[in-house]
Amino acid sequence: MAEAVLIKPDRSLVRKIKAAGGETVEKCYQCATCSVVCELSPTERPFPRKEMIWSQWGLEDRLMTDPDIWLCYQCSDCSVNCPRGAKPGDVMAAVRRFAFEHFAFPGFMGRALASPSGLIPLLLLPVIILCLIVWQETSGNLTALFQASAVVDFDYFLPHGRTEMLFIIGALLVVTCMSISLFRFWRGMDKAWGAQHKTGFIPALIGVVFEVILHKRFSSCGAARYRQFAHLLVFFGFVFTALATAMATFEMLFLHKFLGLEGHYPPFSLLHPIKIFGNIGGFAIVAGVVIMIYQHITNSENAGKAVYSTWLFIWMTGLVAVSGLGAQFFRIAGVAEFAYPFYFLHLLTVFFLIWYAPYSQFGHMFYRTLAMIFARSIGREAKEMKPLP
Amino acid sequence: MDAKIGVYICSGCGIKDAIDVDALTSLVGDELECEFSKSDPFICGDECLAKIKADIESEGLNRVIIAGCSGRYFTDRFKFGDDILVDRVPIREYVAWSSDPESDIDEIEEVIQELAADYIRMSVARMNNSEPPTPIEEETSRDILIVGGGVAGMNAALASANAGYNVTLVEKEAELGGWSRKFKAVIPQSAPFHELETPPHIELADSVQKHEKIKVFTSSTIEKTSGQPGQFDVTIQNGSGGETVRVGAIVQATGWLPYEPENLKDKYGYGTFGNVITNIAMEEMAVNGKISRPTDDAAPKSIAIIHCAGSRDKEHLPYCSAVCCRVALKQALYIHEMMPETDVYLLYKDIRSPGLFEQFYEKVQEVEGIFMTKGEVVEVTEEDDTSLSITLDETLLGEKIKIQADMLVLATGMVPTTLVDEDEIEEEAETEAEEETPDETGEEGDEKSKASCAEIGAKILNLTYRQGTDLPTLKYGFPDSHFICFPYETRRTGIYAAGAVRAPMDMGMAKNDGLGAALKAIQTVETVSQGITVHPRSGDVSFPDFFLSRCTQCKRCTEDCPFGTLDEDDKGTPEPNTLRCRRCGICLGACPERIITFKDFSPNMITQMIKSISMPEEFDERPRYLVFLCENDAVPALDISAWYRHKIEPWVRIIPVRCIGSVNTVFIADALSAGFDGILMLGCKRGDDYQCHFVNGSELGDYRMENVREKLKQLVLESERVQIDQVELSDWHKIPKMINDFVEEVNDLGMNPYKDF
Repeated sequence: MAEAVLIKPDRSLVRKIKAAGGETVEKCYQCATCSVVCELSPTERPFPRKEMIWSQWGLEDRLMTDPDIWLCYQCSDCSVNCPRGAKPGDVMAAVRRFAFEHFAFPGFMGRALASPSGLIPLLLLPVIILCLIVWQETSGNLTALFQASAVVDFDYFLPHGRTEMLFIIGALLVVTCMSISLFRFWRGMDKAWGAQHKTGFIPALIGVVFEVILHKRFSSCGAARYRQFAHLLVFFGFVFTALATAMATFEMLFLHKFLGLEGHYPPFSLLHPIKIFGNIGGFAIVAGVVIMIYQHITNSENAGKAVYSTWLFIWMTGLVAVSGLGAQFFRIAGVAEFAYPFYFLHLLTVFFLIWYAPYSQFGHMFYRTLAMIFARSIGREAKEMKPLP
Repeated sequence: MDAKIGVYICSGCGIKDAIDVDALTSLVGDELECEFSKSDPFICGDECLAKIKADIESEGLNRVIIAGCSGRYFTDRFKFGDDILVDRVPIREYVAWSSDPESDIDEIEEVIQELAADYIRMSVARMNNSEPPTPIEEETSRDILIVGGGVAGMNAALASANAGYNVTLVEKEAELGGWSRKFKAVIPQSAPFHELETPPHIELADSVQKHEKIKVFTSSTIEKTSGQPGQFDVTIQNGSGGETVRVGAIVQATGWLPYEPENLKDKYGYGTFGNVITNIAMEEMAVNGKISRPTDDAAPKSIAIIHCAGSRDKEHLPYCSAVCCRVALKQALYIHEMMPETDVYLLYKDIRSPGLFEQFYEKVQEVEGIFMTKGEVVEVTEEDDTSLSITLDETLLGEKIKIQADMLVLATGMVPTTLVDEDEIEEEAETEAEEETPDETGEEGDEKSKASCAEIGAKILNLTYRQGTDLPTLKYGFPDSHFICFPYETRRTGIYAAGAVRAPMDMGMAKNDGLGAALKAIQTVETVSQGITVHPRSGDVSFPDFFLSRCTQCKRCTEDCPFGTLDEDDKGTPEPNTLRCRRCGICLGACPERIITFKDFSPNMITQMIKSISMPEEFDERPRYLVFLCENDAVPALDISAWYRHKIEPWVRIIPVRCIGSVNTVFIADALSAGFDGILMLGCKRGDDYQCHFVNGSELGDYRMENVREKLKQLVLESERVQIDQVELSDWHKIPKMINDFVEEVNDLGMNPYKDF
């Protein structure tokens, strides 16, 4: 017989989970309806029932080494069917929010993103950096920007080279910090699950990428079907804008700067592939975000409990797209009074999303992917769908 | 007084389609000695009823036979006064509706006519051999005694007193209140079931003590209870002197005792580890305002509570005590209120908080610092003097876990105060057996020790009944007698059980129990004052008469009576206490001398009814089957079956009886020698979950089958010819098949060879 494990409950974690949107967690009485209705849950050690009692007892080591919290897409089937109103979907989301904090490297960043009190410093950092760049470039002569005759020139305001550098540094930092967190997460899962990896990391990763691109898991959700569509829009919006950014970087750094070719420098024509990709992406994000906001307001039961960090991420995502599209519109329209502030806002929100990605809900992209790879590699698959008799 | 019988045959409700009513009517003039017979198409109508009443007047009838629908319909319409005996012959149900004229039996119409005629013959025999019963007239008391001053007892006392009855309340302890006095708080009893309530005894005790109709005896016990309902003489002893009161009925609300925790020594370390306590000890601490670790008196940082400690456990109490889960929730809640930083673990098998109490469970779930899991406690060990470690398997956490707690509380279950300690009985029985004179055989010695067992046991009422000093109990020591139909009822007429002595329950239910039992007690004092019986034959005037000069002192009646009606004198002659009797006739069924009779139900009456049935010769190939049908479930069940026109074989003749226990084996012998081919008895369900309305009548019927089989062997008859079966009311659709299968089975054996003798 297996050796008994000493269990020490932790009230403070229960409090945190409740504060992070899981305030219904204590209502659970472990009937396992949630695990039965969940289409994504595997047959062996299904979720979210076990996560519910782990949360009620505040068992951090179990929750934080559990790939299952990331296999949940919060489609709310469990919450809708829960006989006790314990909303396991919301609790799982709250546990995921706690995971950003738990794995955060450096740790203070996790805490800063988790509550509104961290918002001001988090905003101040990019504002100061961007202002310094603006100040340096314009020597404080901002009035020149707004002269009626002047063409709106973002490169003059915030030079592309500088901003590129800012985001490349950000990306490197993010990759480093995120890797540390992900490594800890993987090691934790490995240990807790005594994992026998049946599939290698790369094949598992390829499988997961296909799954993500097709949003396959979303399609088995019942209560919140809209999520698949909204998430697809935002997801591909980001893919398109990322492609546009990559192409622009290529044009600017390689063709323009390195090869010294003429014309491969912003602003690009609206028919340029960069612009086409960027604009499609931007509009897709806006559309997806609008659906999300609308659903969270009008259909909060099924959309899941939205807390501060949810709104922060949704609004930041929306603002990135809106400010980008706005800056472009006012630049072409020649309305400098709006174009520059929009551009400033755009860079500010891009900074926010990229630099803080591991600690905000953007981080779900990494944790979820890793958890899915882990699950796939140990052969932890969703239960087989059987047609009703 | 000679019987003057008028027969009225109804032709309505499809009767005339199946039966030649005119021919049936002429049966009376031709064959049966009655005053007259008449038929009417609408016998239950006012017009016909008026005619019957006029006939009674003008012809001086004292017996009326109504052949028509079952006596369960229009019961009150066919009452013509106390001195007029009425028999309802259900030719509608037993003949018209349940015979199949399409059957391939030869001359089926004649066969059905014969069936109807037999029922008339049986009824005439019944009427000729019975008399209108007269009630017992005795001086009775309407006062009520309540034993036990807890929540159930005090509520019973108040309810009875408020209804205008004088009440005597006896409490063993110095103060009223029972367990309520020993609890810090009680489970919420009203919406939203969130807040603990103050124990109810304070208010109750005050009202009881102030009530002018309630006389309270505290620090008192009952030395002796003798007599019968309406005439109980109860000697109350308070240590310094006795006082005898006469009461009409008794409510026993003596409550419960906690399950002995010493028995949980091996399992949970009670007694071994200083910090393992019971829920009762926790309650005491809480009442005193300080919850502390027994070993060092320090405030515990964590407390674990094991639900079902020794409950739902084959080794200990096999049943659920219904309250312990909610008590554990209650204690978790007040521990949190008193010491918010203390963690409380609730370790349960299942949390049982039925009905709206679910809301209380929900409330406690939301309290911070209360951690719950299902699990089987595998081991309790002591880390050191101040810490215990509890290992659980099969937990909801999905693994075998260990938790550490400063204290462990065992939520033990409830044991009724009526439980007789079985070990104690064995010991006492052994002692008594040793005292027996050595010349007695072993077998007799066994019997003797069994009899003395009944006298030992919980000594609460100290009844002077021949069958034992206290209430007979069911499997786990609870004194209930018929949980489904008659709550509060015990096997001692006029004595009712209320509260946790009857079944494990909380104080809310105990309150209701007190009220319910008080109503039963009131019913009893009222009915016995009129000389009639209580449930289930409510209002029955008849009572058994013992022709004692022919008694052989065989003691069967005294032992078989489910209600302890009969005491006996030194020689063993029964001494009836008629007011204890519920008129089931089980004694009548037991008596080999046939000396026990009711005015309207007697061995002779049944024998004459059997004899009155036409018995065709063997060559006619018209068999005859006799079915004794219990009036409590089987008769209404057959009525329902007939309503749905389910068919039964036309060879069957039905005799309803008060209880299958009232069927004397003599009836069976009579029927077999009269030529009946088979006899079937349909009674209520027997066994641990019996539904017999007279507790053990059905059981006795089955037991007596042994003798019947012996008899059959002597007569060289197949044992299949006499059978007994069980019917619940809900089995109505199975009854025709039961009867027809029996008929088919016995038909295959061939005719009764004694037919033509």
